[in-house]
Amino acid sequence: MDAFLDSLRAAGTLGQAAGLAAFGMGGVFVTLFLFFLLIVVLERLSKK
Amino acid sequence: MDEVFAGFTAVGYRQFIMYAIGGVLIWLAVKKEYEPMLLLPIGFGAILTNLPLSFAVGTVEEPGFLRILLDAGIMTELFPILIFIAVGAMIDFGPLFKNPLMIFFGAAAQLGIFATILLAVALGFDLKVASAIGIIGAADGPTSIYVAKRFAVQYLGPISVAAYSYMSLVPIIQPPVIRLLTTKKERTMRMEYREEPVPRLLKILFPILVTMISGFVAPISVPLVGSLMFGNLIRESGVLERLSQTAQNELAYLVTLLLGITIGSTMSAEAFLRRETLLILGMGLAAFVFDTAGGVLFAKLLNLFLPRDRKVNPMIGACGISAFPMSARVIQKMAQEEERGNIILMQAVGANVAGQLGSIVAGGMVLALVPLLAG
Repeated sequence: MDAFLDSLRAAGTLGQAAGLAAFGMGGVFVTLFLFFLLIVVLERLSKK
Repeated sequence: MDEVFAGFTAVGYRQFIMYAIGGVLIWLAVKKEYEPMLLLPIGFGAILTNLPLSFAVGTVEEPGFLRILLDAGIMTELFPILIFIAVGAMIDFGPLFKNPLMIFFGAAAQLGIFATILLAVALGFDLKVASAIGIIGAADGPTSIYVAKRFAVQYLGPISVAAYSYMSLVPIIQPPVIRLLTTKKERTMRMEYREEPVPRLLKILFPILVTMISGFVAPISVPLVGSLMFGNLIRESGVLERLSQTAQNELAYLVTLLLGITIGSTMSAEAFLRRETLLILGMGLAAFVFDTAGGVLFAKLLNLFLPRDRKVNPMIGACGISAFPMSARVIQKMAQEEERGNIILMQAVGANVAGQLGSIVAGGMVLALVPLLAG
């Protein structure tokens, strides 16, 4: 992970922005997917 | 004798341009009713701060009330956090709980943030400033202020004005983008909605667990997510009705009042009248267009995999931006115009509250990742 971040840092501002976009959008989708799972699980638990 | 006329001699044409800009913001608020609670105080603050010698702002040694408010409310990040508590108390996640799939539109419609960061970097801004500009695409004033204060405090004025202005212009910005990306048949798609009660346990545990998940994924996002969810927990607990009402009304109005005039105080002629301001306003508009396109295109992509009876009207995707409830209203109005009796409001509201979550999570991602990449 550190090596990958180092390569992004060395890639110039546009490369850093591309890395930020990829990681950022990925992070938002993963986090909201966790929220989605949370809603589904809590709903099932609440109905039991 | 010069001191008697100091007010006349200390003013230049740049100050008069700022009075005109302040006047336009007040006109938009009063005449057009575009975000009046913010644009009016911002406009008046812009006039106040550009008056000769500007005693309302003062100096570092002898601060005026606007500088005191700026230092106490924006530089400490207190005002955005208090606004989030109020917003959290206003949000009903019920429509999202009834259709959890809508949460993914709250993610897809953050595309504008990251696309605009790339655009800003391509135009020559460094990564930190580009990130603060891109966050206009969160369509969420407090998040924009929070990130701008961290990464580009010198552009706080234009970024805040762009964020709040474009939020009020959602009814003008979104429909043409949606029409461009969808067919008539897609826009007239109907969606089934079942009215079911939401279990109380879900309503109470959701804000607590969302805060904890956010804390593990992006610890730096906790002030944003935590304050929003604290407000929501007060609302949903069912035992703090007075506190909930206070957060939704008195707290929201008081902080909004102070926030607006304080943002206006950052719009001095020296800080505002430069080429970058025009670029920021242009990129802010692009961010809202990319957001809308991201949500709509993701809905179309999702429809390729959904069974026939569960397909979504792609217009719903555009509600994944955080401008709540403006975006949901716009989409419902469009659905009605395309076909009378087509009701997709509750799904739109579900996507819209997901946009609130998506925007603060995206803000947290930007806050966490930019220092790692830019150093």
